[in-house]
Amino acid sequence: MPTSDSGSPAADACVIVARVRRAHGIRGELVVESITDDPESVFLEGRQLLPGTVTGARVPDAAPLTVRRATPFKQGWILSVDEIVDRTVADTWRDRYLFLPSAELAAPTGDEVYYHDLVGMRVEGNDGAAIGTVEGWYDLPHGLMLDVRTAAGSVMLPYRPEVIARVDVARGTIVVDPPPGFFD
Amino acid sequence: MARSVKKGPFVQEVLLKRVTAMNARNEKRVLKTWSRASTVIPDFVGHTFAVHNGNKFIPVYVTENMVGHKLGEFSPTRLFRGHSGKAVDKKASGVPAGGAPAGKGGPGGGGGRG
Repeated sequence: MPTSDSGSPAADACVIVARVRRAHGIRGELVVESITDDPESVFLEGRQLLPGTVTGARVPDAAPLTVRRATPFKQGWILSVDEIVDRTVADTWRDRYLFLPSAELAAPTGDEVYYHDLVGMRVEGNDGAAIGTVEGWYDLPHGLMLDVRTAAGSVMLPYRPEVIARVDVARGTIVVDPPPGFFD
Repeated sequence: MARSVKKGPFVQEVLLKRVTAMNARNEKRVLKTWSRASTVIPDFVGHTFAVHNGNKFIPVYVTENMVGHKLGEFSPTRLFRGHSGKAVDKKASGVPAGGAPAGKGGPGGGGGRG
């Protein structure tokens, strides 16, 4: 795993797995929003989560948080960590992101692609004609939508096999085969 | 109060006519519509609708589990960009993908367009 000068994992080798929403109770527990596909295996007892800022940047020399207990709670999780034992300290963690080194997570397999790897990809037609560039993504209830910037403006592209023919991460391209009238 | 069962689900007449015509021709093309109140009926499955959200058209590919819902439910009027642009542990699947140098995080583990 690449490391920075301080010995902590380099910023580019970490991914966000959670965001602290608020403090819970008086014993320093945190309510977190899970930003991972597999929270059960991420919030394991003893796992060390790396702190980030409220804007999503890593804090390189900050001490990690060691998970003591994690329980599902409403839409998120309640985390007890060894380093936070009272509510006053827990309150200071509101809205901060938590990271994990990507080496500790399951790598994408088969047809899986990280959402953030899709951002910046070129979108082209089956004939190789350039259509636009992916500017962002939206995780909507009916599936992932890519925000594609085209010459005519922004177009939402459903991440579905009926619309997208293939994704080539190495080349940074998404080949689309949408129904007629899609980009009109 | 729920809509009377006698009337059946509401579908804009023009929209239904266009879908029926496309089904008869076995044709698939994107249908632009402003009718967010139209109910998704089984005839719509497999078609793509561009549903207006008050600002732009959001493409909605209709699948079987959307039947009974309104088209507007799939075209949000407020889009929360949320963690878009940050390197998050979420993976897309279902589309053939190749050449993945996966496992890397984004620049600075975040920032971007946040």
